Amino acid sequence: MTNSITQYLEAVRRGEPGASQALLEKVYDSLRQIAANRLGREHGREVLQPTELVHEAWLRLGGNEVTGWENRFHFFSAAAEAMRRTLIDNARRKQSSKRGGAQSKQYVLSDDDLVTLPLADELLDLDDALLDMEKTYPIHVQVVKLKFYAGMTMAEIAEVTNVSVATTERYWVFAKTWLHHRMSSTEDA
Amino acid sequence: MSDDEIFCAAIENESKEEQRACVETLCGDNAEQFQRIWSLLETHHKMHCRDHDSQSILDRPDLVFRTFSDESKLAPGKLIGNYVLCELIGEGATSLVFRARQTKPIERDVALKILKPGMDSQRILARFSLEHQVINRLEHAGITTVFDVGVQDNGRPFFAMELVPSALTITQYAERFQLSIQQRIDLLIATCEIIQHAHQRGIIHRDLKPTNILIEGVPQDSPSPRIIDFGIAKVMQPGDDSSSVTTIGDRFGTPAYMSPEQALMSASSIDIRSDVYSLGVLLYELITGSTPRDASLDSAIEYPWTSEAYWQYTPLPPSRVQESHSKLDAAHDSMETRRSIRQKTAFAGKSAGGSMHELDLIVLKSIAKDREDRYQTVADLQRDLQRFRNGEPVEAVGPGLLYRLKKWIVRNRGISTAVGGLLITIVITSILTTYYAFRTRQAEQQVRNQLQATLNTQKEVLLERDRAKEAMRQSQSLLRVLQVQSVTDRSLSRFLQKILESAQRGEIGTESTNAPAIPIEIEVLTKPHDRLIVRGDWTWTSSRLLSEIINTSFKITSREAAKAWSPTQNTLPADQSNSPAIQSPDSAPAIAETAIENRQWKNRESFQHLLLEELRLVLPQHDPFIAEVLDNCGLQALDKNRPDEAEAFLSESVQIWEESQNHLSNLAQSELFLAEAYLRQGKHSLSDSMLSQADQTLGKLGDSAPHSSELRSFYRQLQAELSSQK
Repeated sequence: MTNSITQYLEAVRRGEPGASQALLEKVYDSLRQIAANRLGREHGREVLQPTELVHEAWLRLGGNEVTGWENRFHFFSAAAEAMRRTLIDNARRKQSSKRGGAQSKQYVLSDDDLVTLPLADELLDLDDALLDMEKTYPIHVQVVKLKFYAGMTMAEIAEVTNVSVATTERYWVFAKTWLHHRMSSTEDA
Repeated sequence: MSDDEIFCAAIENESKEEQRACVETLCGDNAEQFQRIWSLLETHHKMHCRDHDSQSILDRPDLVFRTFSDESKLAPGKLIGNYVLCELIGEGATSLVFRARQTKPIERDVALKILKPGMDSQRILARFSLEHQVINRLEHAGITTVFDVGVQDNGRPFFAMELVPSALTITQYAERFQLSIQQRIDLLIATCEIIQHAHQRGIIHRDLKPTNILIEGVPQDSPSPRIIDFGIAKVMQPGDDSSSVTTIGDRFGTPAYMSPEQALMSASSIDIRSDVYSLGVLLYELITGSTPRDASLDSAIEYPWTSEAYWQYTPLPPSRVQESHSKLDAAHDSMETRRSIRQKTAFAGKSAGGSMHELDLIVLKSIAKDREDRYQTVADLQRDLQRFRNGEPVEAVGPGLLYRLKKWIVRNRGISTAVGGLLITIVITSILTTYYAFRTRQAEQQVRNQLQATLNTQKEVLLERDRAKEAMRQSQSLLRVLQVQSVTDRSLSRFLQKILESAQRGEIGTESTNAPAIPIEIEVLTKPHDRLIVRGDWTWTSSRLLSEIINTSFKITSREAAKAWSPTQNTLPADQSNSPAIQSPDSAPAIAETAIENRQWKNRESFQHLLLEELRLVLPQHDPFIAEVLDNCGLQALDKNRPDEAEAFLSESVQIWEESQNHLSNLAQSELFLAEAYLRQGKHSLSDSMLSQADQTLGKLGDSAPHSSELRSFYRQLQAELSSQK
């Protein structure tokens, strides 16, 4: 299993149908396994960081042997996407089960999701904003996903997207501002 | 260009104005695009204000992940250790505070502080556990005690604290029970005392604000405030870096009560004066009902700490806030509150010891933006408030007096000498010292401060004196140049006048053949004498304007001379009788020069002589410039074969050069000329001794000095001449 990741990546690179989906599932499985192992071992005391998760998955799947920035890019994009989906599913579940679609964002002290509810909303807002932004700025959105969901550093992102760190920084600053602007303006409206 | 390109280009600029200009330029006529990018830039700006609560979720991925993978639920009824959660009573950036019921070993209500889910990074954990250690160090009735420290099932720590029953914040309390200004000040005095206790134990609270100062919500004669939340307190331990646990990257704190240095500087450089600031803001709010920023700034606009507007704003004195009716829209601050406080203040002015003005000064001193201008300790603030309550003179007024003293010295610095200024300062200091010796012991500190300030003033005076000296030196050299110039001008005009007069008297004339085209005087005036080896800096005399004046003057003079001379002498050929001077500029000065050369001009005073005369009036006797002119005169006399005259000029110039330190080559030159003058008179022994003197000077001068070889060869020439004459 460890050496097969290259095959998945090559398939994506060649643009084979269904290759992206297959890669995503592969990475997703790996992430879930790692998370389960770690959580079981440490009794939930230390929560895993996305950075750790993704990098551990990368190593487990034999990422060290993967050559070429494009392949690395496809792997980390898939990881970011897997993380994003996990979070969004989680947020949706919480939102629907606890609130029955109410739009209020006030703290409800009796609610046992005291703190997590506003975050769930924010996360879903962010996802909407990202979808919106992707239409005009797909590259920027890619940087955001790698940074936010896969916990990659600017230097790592620069490497796998094959642009300079300075450019990556600029993408990040612009995207962050754009998204924040979009999210705060829909909030007001 | 696309939006993102323009945006990224714009944020390269520092100021908002520059950014705007950049976007305007790059968008050109596209107003829609400009609007789009500009609103993004405003968002960007807001996101970078530390005191703006617009941190993006994008900056907090850790929080998101931790929160979602956290299974524990904090809800009323949940059991944590021996405590049952009852209700949430407070929330900070990283923690939640519940009222909780302790079940064992005794039943009582406590305040239970728990980390928020997702907040268990090593740093936050370290700080959290430090908080109860901090509180344990402080044993004071005004600081809630920690009963218990524990760890939840999920590994997160919590601690149980003494609960202030039906607690109100200090401002709420003052409102609820309609406290008078004096009572409000007493509340703050009591608060100061607690903070001072903490400071004495090396702990800076750093987050003093109404919600962290609680008072039991029942009417009391002397309400005792309780300080809570030492969550971002800083432990001052000289040489101990462990205190930095509390300081790394702490951007917490509450903007309205946060000192500028806390907002702008690294957390580690914060000292107790930061708490003084927060207490000042609190006092301001207790008196006026709003914080200085709310009262003074247009609350509709965000003023980040870094903005120029913030640093330019001056807080309204509290008394002025109450007069102002305009800005009463702060949410926590109703019109009624303001009015009731206003009424209270009205009588406060009479019944309280001090005047409203004094209270203004105390408040403004506490919230000075520069911490050097604040009360240096909370105790100082507390004492001054106490003095105010007792109707004693307050320290806050002090700097005004000192300021006036400083001003006085500064005003008089110009006329009194620096020493005079120092003396006056010292006299005033001793008067002040004597005066304050009669005051209470508390005034001692004040005098010390003033002495310090006076010393600073003295230092300033000394600095100023140095500067004045330097300026004097510069203006002296400038003055010299101007003097020399004006003397030259005067000499020149006198010289020209004399020629003119001579011409009118008909003293000029006879043969005009083969005279030099330009008179020697101009040569000497515009450049040093040809025979001079070492030449002074005559650049100022060679200005084009001056040369022009000379030429024109000579033209006119010569014309006059020609006029005066031609009818009587009648030696000009008939075809030249319509004055060649007018046609040929070269021949005009020639006529004047001829007149001098022919010695028909009786006074025979050369320009150099006139210049010398004038220079002696304005320059010191031994000025090097006089020596230069003396050399010129001496040379002139030698050239005109009057060595006795030359001797007089040159022996004086030798004397001057001897006294001057840095003119060895000039000295050698003058000595050589003097030797020549002796030689021409046949005074061989004198000439011989002068030559050996010159030899010595040349020896001192060394061979590498400029002109030394020319001087040497001149020396050898004279020596050869002397030995041949002998």
